[in-house]
Formats: sequence, structure tokens, C-alpha cells
Amino acid sequence: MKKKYEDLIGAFIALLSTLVIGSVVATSIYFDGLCKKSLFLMAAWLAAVSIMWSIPFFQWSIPHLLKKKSRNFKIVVDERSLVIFKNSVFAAHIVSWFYFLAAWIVAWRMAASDNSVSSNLISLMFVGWVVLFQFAHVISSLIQERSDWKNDR
Amino acid sequence: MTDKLIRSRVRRLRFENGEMTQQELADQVGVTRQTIIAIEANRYSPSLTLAFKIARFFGVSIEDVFHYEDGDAGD
Repeated sequence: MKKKYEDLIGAFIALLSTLVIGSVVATSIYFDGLCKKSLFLMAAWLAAVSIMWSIPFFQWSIPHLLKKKSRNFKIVVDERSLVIFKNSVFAAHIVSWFYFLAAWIVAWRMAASDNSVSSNLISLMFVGWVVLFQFAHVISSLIQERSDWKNDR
Repeated sequence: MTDKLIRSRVRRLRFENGEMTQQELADQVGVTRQTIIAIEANRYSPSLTLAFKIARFFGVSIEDVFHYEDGDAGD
């Protein structure tokens, strides 16, 4: 399959899974608070995100390790992929800090008359951060890869 | 990601070496086909290691594969 479609499908799956499951977790926390159920959902979701993030690492490391024994292993993640990945993480990092700034300002404005905020706020902010980080990372990667799609014949 | 100051002759060398495909060259030097595409389109500057691997594969010096054009970024 052309790399363009591979990139788009991969991005779609990553974003959809993060957004959908993240929404379920956020909804559970919002309505039920920090209970066993919402914590379990969050743990399962974070485990899935962690696995998703570790896939590029194994795609990079395993062929490089095994290529020393056999030259038949196809490289999937190479130095250019790592450069794209680092740039995307950097972009997501910057977006994250602006998100935290905005989130804290919103929380400050939403404080109740007795200057209290919901104890679920931190959890919801964390869920929002993971989703936003993923979005920023995927979009940044697509933008960098997109410039080479037209040359991929 | 783009670096318009470094030009490569990878595409020409590829065709001069039995019309080798991008995938074949990528397999030989240990990168993906997309990296070869980006190098040929002058949209990616390879690392020194990769540049030397490519030059060594074609049996030429690195200056015969990559050259640096004088641009605005100078000392």
C-alpha cells in the first residue's frame, strides 16, 4: 500500500482510539468520580496508549538488531523516522505547556464561590493532556511526512 | 526537515547502476524507501553515516554524491 495511505490510516486509528477511549474515561471520571471503575478504565487506556507508543521503538530496534544476523529484515523505522518523531514530540511538548496554562486559567475561573474546585479536575486535565499530546504528535508527523507523499510513486 | 542547500546525485547514480530501484538501494544501505525518496528530492539531508554508506555502495567519494550549495546561511 502506498505510504500515504499507510500514514493516514495509522494516524486515523491512533487518533480515534485515543479520542474515543479517552472520552469514555473522562466521562466516567466526570460522572462517577475517582472510583475503582474509572481508575481501571484509565489504567487500561494508558496501557493501550503505552503499547501504541512502544510500537515505533520495537519497529526500529528489532530489525536493526536482527539485521546483523540476516539482511532480509526490512527496515521500517530509520534515521529519518526518528528525526520526524523527535520533531513531533517537540511540537507536542510545546502544545502541552500551552494546554496546561489554559487549563489552569479555566480551572481558576471555574472555582466555586468558596474557592473550591472538583477533585476530579486533575484527572480530567490529565486525560485531556494525553489526548492533546497524541493529537499534536500525530498531526505534526503527518505534516512532515506529507511533503514526501507526492514523490512516492 | 527540508534542506535546500544540500543536493544529491543519488537518483542519477541509481540509474547508472543498472537502473536500481529506490527499494533496492534502501535495502542495501539500511533505510526505508521514503528516506531515499526524500534524499533524491533534496528534502532530507542524511546523517554522515548514511551519506558515507551511500557513497561507498556506489563506489564513489561522498563529494560525488552530495554537494553543498552556497546559500544565505554562511559564516
